[in-house]
Amino acid sequence: MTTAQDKTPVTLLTGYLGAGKTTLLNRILTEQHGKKYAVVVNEFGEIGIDNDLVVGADEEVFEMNNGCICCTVRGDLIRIVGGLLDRAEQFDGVLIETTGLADPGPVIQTFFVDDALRERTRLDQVVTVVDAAHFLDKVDEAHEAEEQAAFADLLILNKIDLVDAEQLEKVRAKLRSLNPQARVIETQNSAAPLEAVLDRAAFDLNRLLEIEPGFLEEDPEDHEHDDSIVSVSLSSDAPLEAKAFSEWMRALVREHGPKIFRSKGVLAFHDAGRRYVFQGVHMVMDSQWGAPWGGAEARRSRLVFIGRGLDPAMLQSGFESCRAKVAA
Amino acid sequence: MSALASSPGLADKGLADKGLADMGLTDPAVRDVGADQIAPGLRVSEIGLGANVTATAASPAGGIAGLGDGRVVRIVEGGAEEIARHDAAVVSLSALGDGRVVSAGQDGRVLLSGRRAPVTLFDAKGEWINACVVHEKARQVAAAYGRTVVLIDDDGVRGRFSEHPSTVSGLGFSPTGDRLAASRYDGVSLWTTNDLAAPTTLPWKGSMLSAVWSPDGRWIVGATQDRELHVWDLLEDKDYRLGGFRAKVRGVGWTGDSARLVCTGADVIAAWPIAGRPGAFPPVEIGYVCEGVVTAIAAGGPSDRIAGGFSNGAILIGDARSGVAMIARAAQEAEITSLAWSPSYDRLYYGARDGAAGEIALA
Repeated sequence: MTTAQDKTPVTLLTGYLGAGKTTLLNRILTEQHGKKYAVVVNEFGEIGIDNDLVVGADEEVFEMNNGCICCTVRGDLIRIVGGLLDRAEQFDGVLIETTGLADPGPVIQTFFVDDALRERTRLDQVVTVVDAAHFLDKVDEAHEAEEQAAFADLLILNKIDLVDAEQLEKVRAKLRSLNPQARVIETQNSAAPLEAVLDRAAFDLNRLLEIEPGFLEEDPEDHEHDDSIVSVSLSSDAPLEAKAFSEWMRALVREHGPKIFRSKGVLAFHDAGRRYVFQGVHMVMDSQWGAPWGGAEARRSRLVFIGRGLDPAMLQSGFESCRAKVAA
Repeated sequence: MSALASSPGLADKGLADKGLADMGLTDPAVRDVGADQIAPGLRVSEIGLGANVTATAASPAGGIAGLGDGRVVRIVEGGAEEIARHDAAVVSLSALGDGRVVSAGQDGRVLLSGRRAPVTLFDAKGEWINACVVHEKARQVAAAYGRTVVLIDDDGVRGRFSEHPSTVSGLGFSPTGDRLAASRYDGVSLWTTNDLAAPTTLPWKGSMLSAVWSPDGRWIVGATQDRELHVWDLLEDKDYRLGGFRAKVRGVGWTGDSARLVCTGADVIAAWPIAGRPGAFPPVEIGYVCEGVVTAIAAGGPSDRIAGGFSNGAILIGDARSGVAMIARAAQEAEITSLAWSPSYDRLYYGARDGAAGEIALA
């Protein structure tokens, strides 16, 4: 048996070209923190360390048919991280740096669907470095920049010294609208405290006790086109029916999975004394029973979806149809 | 219970039941194998090597282990003797009839060692070797790194196959050594080793992880990322799927007569009859007494004797035709990563993720 403690943590580092990923990576590799990391990079030479724990990736994406769902995964990462695990005693964790144009979805899914990686690793968190000076232009140019922000657990808003207060506030607002769930750290030279970057267990369902209510603040520009990235928060004080919820979620990810980047939920079922917690990336879902509800605790179910072109009204009505028919 | 496709249970139930009953293992309450259940008549010796055993081979002089820290060691009476060292994990090992060993590593090197100081047969200059196979009679070694496969003989690198659409994950020589199968995304490339002409392709959508030839040269079997096996019949030009595995199939082998395909990936050691049409008959299944999944297999002898190692460290030796089996190593913690039969098929060498390596001698 492999316990959560034995599993090798994997941190995914994304961000658009020039945002400051490599600077952050070099800091992690050179600063004294008593830990050793294996690093999967796209471009050799950019990072200042050359040893046998630095491995080049070649971004081989392919479609996998995992029983009932289809999803794209990164074959090179299955091979490389699997190979690194053959000498797992040599390092404490794995850092994966993606190219500026990479879609984080297949990278994350890889760690959920490959059985060897699932058994021996745990995805720790997705860290996205954002260039305060250029993010808003990039967002207009290419989908990748905002998608990387939407997938993040931690947003490092970098190069804040290069923008004025007004510009900074605009970027902050944009990030909040893309991904209100992510923690934001503002930096110069990617100088985020490493304890905020590493070993956070953001994907650990055991730690998922509560979901912060969504911000209602919205960027009006975003709603001019239907394919913009939105974050939809739903909540219910009425207890839910497990069967109805499971059927709704299954249909939802089957139909809209490719548009849903991240999803998370803490749910109160009418006939259960414990929370039911889940998270998902596109069509890949992970769920389990969580901590028991306290006696006096309000049993509020909360869900959040971050994705492109999601229809909040459709999600709201679907969620409402999961309410238990019987009184709790 | 196993969920292998088209498998109602043990193929030859009478014999299989008899074998298991002899071992006192028909009691359904027995769900794991303990040290007191090891079959009598086996001599087992084991040592700890201090690093994950990533590959095991059997040379005429004894067992060879390749380790996650790069060492290649010969198991000798009471210990281990280092014969070569890679700068990163050992990926594969092949033992030659004269006691020498070909090893490939994540340091990009293919080494020949065992009798004198190690000789570098090939160096991919830092790129990992992902697969390496040896055809001793044809005096050829093939090694894959990235999308390229090199063919090495006594005079060094003789040829390069580089027209692969993606990283090559597995290699297999045909029994005669005149062809080489290379697995990659969307199928297998079949090369001819003497003219290096363009390959023929065995297509199958998805990520293929291996390509193993049957001893009679008729079949090629490859595992897929989708937890299936894909079997090509080169004689009839047909292909088949075998499914229902609990994990990716990491090990595939054949009985010496090519009649049965033996594989990991299920909760039992599965030996599929191939004659006629793969999948037409259910596999013989060995190992209901073990928890966990089969992680390593060894097959290929003149008899139907096969061995399987489990994710809980147990090892079973059985008969691929009857399903009769005996317990050769008790369940512990770490998974068995690799198994190899001695050339005479009377000794089984094994390695485990926690660094345990050993020899099981049959009476």
